[in-house]
Amino acid sequence: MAHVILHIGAHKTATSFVQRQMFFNRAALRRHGVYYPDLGPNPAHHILATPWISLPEIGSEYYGPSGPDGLWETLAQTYAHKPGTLFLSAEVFSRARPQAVDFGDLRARLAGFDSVKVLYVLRRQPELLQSIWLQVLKSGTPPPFDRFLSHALQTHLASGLWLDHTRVYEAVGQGVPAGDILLWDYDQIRHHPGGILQAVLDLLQVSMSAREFPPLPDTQANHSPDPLASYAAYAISSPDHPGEALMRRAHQALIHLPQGRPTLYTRAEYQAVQETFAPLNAALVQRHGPYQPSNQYHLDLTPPEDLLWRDQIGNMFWLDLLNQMQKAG
Amino acid sequence: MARIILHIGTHKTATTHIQDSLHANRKRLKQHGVIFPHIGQTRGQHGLASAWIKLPMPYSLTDAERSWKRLARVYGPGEHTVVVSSEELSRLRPHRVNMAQLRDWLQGFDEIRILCCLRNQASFLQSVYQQVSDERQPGHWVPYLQAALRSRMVDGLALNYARLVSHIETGFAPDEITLLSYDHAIRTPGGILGAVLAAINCPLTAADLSASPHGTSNISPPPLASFAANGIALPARAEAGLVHLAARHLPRPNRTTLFSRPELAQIRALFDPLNRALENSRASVQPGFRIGPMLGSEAPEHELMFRGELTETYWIDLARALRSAQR
Repeated sequence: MAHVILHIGAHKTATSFVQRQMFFNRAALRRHGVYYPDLGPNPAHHILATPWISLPEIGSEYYGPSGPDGLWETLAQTYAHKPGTLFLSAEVFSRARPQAVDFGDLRARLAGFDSVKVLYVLRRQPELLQSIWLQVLKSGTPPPFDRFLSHALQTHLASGLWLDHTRVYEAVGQGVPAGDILLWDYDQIRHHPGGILQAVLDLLQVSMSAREFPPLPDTQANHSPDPLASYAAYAISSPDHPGEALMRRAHQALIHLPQGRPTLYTRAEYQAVQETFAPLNAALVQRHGPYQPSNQYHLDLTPPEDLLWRDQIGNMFWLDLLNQMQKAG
Repeated sequence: MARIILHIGTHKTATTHIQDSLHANRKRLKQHGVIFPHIGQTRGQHGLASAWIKLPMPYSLTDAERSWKRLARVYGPGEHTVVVSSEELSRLRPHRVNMAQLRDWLQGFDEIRILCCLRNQASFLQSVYQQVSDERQPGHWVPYLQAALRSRMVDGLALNYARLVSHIETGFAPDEITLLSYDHAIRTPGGILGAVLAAINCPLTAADLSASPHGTSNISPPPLASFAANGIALPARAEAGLVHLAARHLPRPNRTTLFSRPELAQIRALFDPLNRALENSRASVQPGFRIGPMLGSEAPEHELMFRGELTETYWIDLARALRSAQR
């Protein structure tokens, strides 16, 4: 029997980590009947989204003579009659804008397989939104956070990604029956013994422990910068990027913060996110409940008690940061 | 009958304004029997304090003792009221006036009186911090404040006014001392100058005096601008341009305070009982004397902008302005 599991993200749910682990251990996985193909140009399978989504950063050399469609055909020819599970992973499949995947078309391309399941990892919206803003800041200049937040609350979108997970669920549902959609709560699985990697291995019925996977080089890891340091540095530099020096100074000033896990949000902003998305999450639970126990994907948006709100930063942080700026002249 | 009145401050009670005004109106005052002598190079008679307290030039006199004795010799036999004004006479550290010696040097006068203006400790402390900021880097406000509360002294000046009065009483009888509330005086029509003129029994009012050609003295920037500028400039002194920048972005620059609400409550809890005790101890010689209300206790607190109310927007705007100025 040939199966497919398509892991579609969401973004900011340790997808790069999973993809790199699967990629660098693909030989071992193959021995367990799991296929993680090397399609280039990186450990993920974003290239497979190109029939629907334009990804100009992927060079033409990675496509065969038949282009993006040919990739799918090759996959089907190679794996559809091979016992085991083909695991494909690219968070771009869950993208909403400017283009989105046609899951009806996608499913049709996988018709030769005995089963196709879609795995979608849901991240709690306050964390997801924050993480997306920080990711955009790493490589560019996002709108100021308050504008980004306000837009997200109105449209339920952030940087072209759905914050309303039901919208992704519905898009997938255009081609994949609800019973073949698997929803995971990112917060639950990352605290699972062995973390998200172990959860994926278990799903693939691979009798390996995530601990057996050798540690990966750190160079490509996608580390998130500190939210408050990033916020402060960009608030000072915008519309320009803060640059390394200002980011470093903001990080140094963090020693003045009270105890707690820094967040971009004020308490009121967090509450607004909570009030917007909690009902939408509840609706998804009701909708998907008949197909999967809801405790696996019921997102609790109650703020963790150890959060350090942005409006708790205090004068000493700012004084230190400005003092460093003054000294640097 | 010759009288001498020693106006000993304290600091930050408009002493420069008083000294400038009396100096500018010396001739007019003399016509009414009040002598405001020109001693040394300053308009106040700060040099006289250098008999005990080391002062930098131009404040110091080469022989202050001689100048004190000359005052007694020249004016003691006359019918004038001599007024001497220097807030340095109220300093307690690192050196202080030998009050007994001073009283002794002034024996030639028929009446000797100490006039001491006292300001509520919260405003006083805040104002001293700002004055110090003009001259050097005082460091962050919070440790400065806590050190002052522990020692009940700030920059060598008494915060516990009973301690200052006790020191004065080492040379002067309680009934030779007149305490004046700065906070109450500035709310009277003649202001602090009028209150001082009244205290020395001068028939002139503040309105009778011409303005000092030296203008308004010692206008301080908003306290929170000093707070921000000092913190940014550390370890250097905050330059005027930086203080101005820090002031420009304050949403309510006219009514800010260095204190947080809990700090102000701490000041009240510490000094209100001490002030009431001092007032009681003075009841026999100066009945009805009251030290003025503590900062923030008269006007509604919401009119004050506390340190804790500096917003993220303030800091970001200031940081952007700083960055822009650096470019």
